[in-house]
Amino acid sequence: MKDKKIFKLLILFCLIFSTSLIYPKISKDNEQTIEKRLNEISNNVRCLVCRNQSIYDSNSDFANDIKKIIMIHLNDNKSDEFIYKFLKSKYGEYILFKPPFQINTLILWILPFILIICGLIFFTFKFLKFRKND
Amino acid sequence: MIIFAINLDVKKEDKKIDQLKSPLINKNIPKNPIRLFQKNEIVELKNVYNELYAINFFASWCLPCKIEAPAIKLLSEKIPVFGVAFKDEEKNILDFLKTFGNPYDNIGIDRNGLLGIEWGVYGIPETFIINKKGQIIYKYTGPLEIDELEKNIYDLIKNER
Repeated sequence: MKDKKIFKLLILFCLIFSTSLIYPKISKDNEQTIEKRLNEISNNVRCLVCRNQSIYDSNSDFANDIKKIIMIHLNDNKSDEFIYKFLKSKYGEYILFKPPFQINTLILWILPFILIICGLIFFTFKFLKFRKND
Repeated sequence: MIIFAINLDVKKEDKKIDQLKSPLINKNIPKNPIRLFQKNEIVELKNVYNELYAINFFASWCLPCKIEAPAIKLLSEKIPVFGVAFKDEEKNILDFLKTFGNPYDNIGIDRNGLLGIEWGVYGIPETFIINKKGQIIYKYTGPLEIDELEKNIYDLIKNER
């Protein structure tokens, strides 16, 4: 009877001890993930008071406030898209370095490819002409 | 010549960034409750005003806020101005109001700057004009000048009334 009691106590102790060992690890992992996401988002958000610097690189009051609100949303388990949308709704698209892929920004995304293709066509024609003349 | 041209272009860009077009224009004001200065009261602006009014984010530590004080006083003679003390201390706010006058109909507190983010504030002072429907119809970033009042704001007030 006494052995059984001791055994039960031992199991209880093991459970409590193992939880206390695992919990900080989970919490630390979560913290690291949140920090990683904060850094990623901060890198794509423009500091509006410092020219062409991301809020990640800036230590201005504005940058710190925005980092603070991003952190609040991350701790609330909000998605990256939600946070970008929130910032855009307050400051406009200018606050994001990477414009979203949508109809009014389509030209920004497609233009580099069009230019590359035009360049390739131009040089191919030049090359063919050069070879023909040769 | 080229350097001069680039410099001119940068200066032009400077001005453009200062007055970024706010996506909040023609939208309803943020619903966030605001704690009133020196009153144990939290209010929602839509419940306080049902007329044309202005909101001015200011701080005692902000030099341009001191510069715009005369223009804010003139504005307050036309429409009520609700001041929001941005990241400021009570004692400093009182000193500021004592020195530059108190043009505000009421003052709210934004202790940590998070209310400012809801309003899309990025560099105080910033002034908003809100219509009777509770929509933001105008935003000005930087110290408000009497010239701006005469050029745009007075007309806006006249048209909205």
